[in-house]
Amino acid sequence: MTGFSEAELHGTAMAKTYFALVPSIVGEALFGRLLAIWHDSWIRGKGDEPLLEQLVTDQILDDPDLGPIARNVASLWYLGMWFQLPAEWRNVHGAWANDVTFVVSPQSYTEALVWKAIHTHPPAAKQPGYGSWALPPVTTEDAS
Amino acid sequence: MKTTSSRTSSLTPPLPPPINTPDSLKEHLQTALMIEHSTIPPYLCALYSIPNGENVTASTLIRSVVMEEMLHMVLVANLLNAINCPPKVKDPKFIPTYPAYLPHSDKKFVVQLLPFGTDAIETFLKIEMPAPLGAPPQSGDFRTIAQFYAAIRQGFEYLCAQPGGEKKLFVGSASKQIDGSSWYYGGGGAPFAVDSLKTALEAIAEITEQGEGYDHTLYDGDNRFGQVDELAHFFRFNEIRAGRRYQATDTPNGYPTGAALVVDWSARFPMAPNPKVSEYADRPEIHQLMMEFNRTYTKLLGSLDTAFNGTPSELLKAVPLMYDLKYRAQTLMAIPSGRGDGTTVGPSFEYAP
Amino acid sequence: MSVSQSPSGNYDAIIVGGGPVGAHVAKELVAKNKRVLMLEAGRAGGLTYQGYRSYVDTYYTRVIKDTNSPYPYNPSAPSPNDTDIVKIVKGTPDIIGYQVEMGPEAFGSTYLRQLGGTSLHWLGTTPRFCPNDFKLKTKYGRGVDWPLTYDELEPYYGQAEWSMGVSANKGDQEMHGIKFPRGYDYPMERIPMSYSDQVIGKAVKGKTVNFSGKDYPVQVSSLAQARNSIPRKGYTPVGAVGNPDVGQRCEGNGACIPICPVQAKYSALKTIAALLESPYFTLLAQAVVTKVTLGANGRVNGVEYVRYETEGLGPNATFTATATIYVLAGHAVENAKLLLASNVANKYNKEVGRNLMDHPFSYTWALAPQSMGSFRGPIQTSGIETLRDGDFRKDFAAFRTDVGNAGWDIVNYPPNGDVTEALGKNVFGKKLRSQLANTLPRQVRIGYDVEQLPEWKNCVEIDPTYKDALGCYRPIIKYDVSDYSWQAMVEAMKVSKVVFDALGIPTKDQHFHGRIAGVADSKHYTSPDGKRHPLNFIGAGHHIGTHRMGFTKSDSVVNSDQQSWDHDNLYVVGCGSMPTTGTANPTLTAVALALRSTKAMLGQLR
Repeated sequence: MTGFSEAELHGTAMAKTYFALVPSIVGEALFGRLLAIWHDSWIRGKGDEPLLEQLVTDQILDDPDLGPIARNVASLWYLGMWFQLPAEWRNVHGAWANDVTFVVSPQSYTEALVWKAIHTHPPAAKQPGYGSWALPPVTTEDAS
Repeated sequence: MKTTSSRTSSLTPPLPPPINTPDSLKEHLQTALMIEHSTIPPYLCALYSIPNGENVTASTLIRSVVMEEMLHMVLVANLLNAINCPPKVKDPKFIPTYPAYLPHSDKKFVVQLLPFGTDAIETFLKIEMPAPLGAPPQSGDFRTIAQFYAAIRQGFEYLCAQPGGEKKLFVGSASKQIDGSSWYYGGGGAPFAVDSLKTALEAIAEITEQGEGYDHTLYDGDNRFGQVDELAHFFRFNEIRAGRRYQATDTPNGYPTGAALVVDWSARFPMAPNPKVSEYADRPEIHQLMMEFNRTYTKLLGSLDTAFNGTPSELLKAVPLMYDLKYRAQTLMAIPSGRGDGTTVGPSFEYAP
Repeated sequence: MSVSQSPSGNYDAIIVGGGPVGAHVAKELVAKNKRVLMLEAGRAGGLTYQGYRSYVDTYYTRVIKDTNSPYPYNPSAPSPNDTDIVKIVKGTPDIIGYQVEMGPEAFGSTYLRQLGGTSLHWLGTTPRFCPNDFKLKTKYGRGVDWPLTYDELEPYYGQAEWSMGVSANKGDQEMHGIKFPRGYDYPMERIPMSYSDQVIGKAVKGKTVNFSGKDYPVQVSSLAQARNSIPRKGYTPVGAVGNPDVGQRCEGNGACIPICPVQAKYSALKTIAALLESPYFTLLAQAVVTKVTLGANGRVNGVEYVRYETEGLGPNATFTATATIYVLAGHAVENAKLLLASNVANKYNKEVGRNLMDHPFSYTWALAPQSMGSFRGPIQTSGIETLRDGDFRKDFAAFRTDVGNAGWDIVNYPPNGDVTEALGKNVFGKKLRSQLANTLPRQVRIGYDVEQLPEWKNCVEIDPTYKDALGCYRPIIKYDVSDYSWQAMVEAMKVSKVVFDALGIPTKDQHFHGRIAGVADSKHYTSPDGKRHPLNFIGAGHHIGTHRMGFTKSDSVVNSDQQSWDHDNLYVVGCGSMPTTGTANPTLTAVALALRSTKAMLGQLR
């Protein structure tokens, strides 16, 4: 889902927190379904990137129940934030008390992967050090 | 010096001390540089294994020691440059293979890459152990680092006592000296230039006193250098072990009896000891992250090497690399090792040009 | 200290407000062994390292990371917030926040009432004013002149730069007649210019724009900044309050606004923490001054203040404090509000609260064809300073060009929108990662701090209808922008065009105006040639005017010493005293003016 390796996801030390957070907001049943279908897509699409992408799109992202949750899981990893689920979703599944837009914790902010993706650091955290900004940026080509 | 261990009798002329030629002094100073550096990866592992916001006092104490070890590296480089010997840092042989003995020590204990914990702190106490009262200088197979520096001090004194000795010894270029606050900052004190016996002895005093204490006290005696007196390293680690701060009435031989210092030994990433890249050859995701760490580390050593060899401003580039190293280490420490024992991966500090 | 206690005794001076200006007045008076009481309306939480760090953690967890987001909400001493500022519908005031906005334009600037003041969230940019900024009327027939010249203020600029810790190279700053005395240099070397500054600087080399028939170079230069860099001889950088090893250098945190996590950026907390070592200095926080009182002789004989124990709840208690002289250093808006509430300083005219100004900040943005290394370093390290003065000021306003380092920042607050938008389009996995990597670092944003002229109708007022939880007046703002500034925003786009073209940015990726979702409402301006231009601007946070200094008691609130024309023991200091805005971020000049004014204060306290 994120484009980061499992090791990199573990490296944020946020996995446990997010794994507990999502069902606490949307309920075990939907979260369980999301995981099961994700697992299914992953097994079927293993080693075939375009197939996996197709399966995830069809089975999860285009699913009106699971799509919004999956996007929010990606937002957790990328931004450390939970966004209130869309109104259409809430109309069907009711209002969950915890389903509000919020930053999970100071750690979730500092571990947000978007900054890694764009080769920098979250503002006010993981400071890069004096003068680093004057150097040519790392680009995706250098990094891989 | 009032006495030296090599002086056996007042009737026979004193034997020269073990370090008695410029070449020998250079060799031992290079070893000192390696010793200073060899303590840093273990300290960093303990420090980085503490999650942000946990064990705040303990991590502040460890960090302050690391900063001073870095200062010591700079001071030893100044000593080497003062006598016109290029400090060697970027060299595979410069990095110990952990677990390792301190270079040229008496091999009574091994130094390991461990997460924060009692084992790590016990080792740190051994590293920073003050020399017993009256302990002799030791130029090799040393028991304490202080005794090794005592031998280096003797070497400086002996060579300078020879006719024209000081002038002949201190022939290094002043431009290679790293001093003041232009390039070096962030704690641990300010480095100063070495260009004479007096400044050389001051540098050695600063190094040993920050480690083991000034004149057999708890403190580093830094107020003599216009800085605030701090506990010497040994006693800072002892505070963590004891879970208690020292107070003014405490002595080096006793335990700290001041305020409680709350340590949560479980608030750490349980990094598996002495990680090696080779262990993760079959796990490419982890292997890659470890390699990236080692490349950053090696780059850092390269920056230090350049800074110590005529381009002090390169130290500015070392700071971003230090930070980068930290973030990479913390990432590694959060990744399960897959050993099934609850441990995590960690930084291996291996040479990777 | 509990609410019922209040410091007793007679003070030489009472300073209202613990921001950079008040702190520097205190510093000079205390240095001469004068007894100073500082009354601060907000809390003093930033004085401990842990307290300050708690602001950083708060910032991390705020959904909207606006200028005051790290700092605790305080209903007893409220501050205006970015999120309170909305488009003004004619006839309907915006009363959402603390500040009541009457329009016609929204006044989009904020400040902070807490110890350290707005210097907690300021950017830290510290250029000097140009000599011609002090004589706009004489030179260009616009606005008014200042009752003092650049040369008269010059020594105090130097003093302010050394006190606040400004990093700059003299040579970069010598333009538009800005001169330095022989032997002077800034206390620290200039902050390294960012990679994108360097790329832009190289691209525009030799390029010009034509303003009112004259060519001006488009040239990128390093900004003077109050953040720690490599010290020059004789200067020791001041690190974080309570943890001086931290913040010895700017570490590139990229969050200057709203909070420098390591305190490498100057804040008044540093000056105040040092003052607290002195027995001559007393600080009283959570003390909101409500009234300046006069004696029968027309001189100020006290200030009344309310102390609150818990924000918004009380208990509260009212006290009076007395001193020989009184210095209002509470911010341009707060100073005006207090003068109006006290019905003082208005014997000769009705200037109090009038001539409110800002630097309307217009901006343009583009997507460069290659990585600019955006989102790295201090938010701003360079500017295009060449258009801060010139004959065109007869026709339209001058401006300072801000070359940003944080991508499209204020345009659409990346990266949250970029991530959610991509996910909404089913972009995920490696594609998402590379899409972000291949766009965000290419973002360029060029903004303009545009000069604004003093106008009577732009003002701060009070009205009993609008009061805060403590019963104090909320400021009512009336604000408009004249054609002099609008036209400059149109002209400024020429500069952006030069930069964007020089970077090889295709026209479709160049943006000069318009509305991006969730951002300031689009406005329009019709230029003299009849063309209608869509334009955006927001506030720069540079509140100027409101108690301006002048030549005579009929044209102004204070004289060139920032001393009230009406009450000789009352000083009203800060950006509110400035008669015109120039184009420079005003804090350095406000501090320099304050330092100069302390000479008069000390003369009175002799």
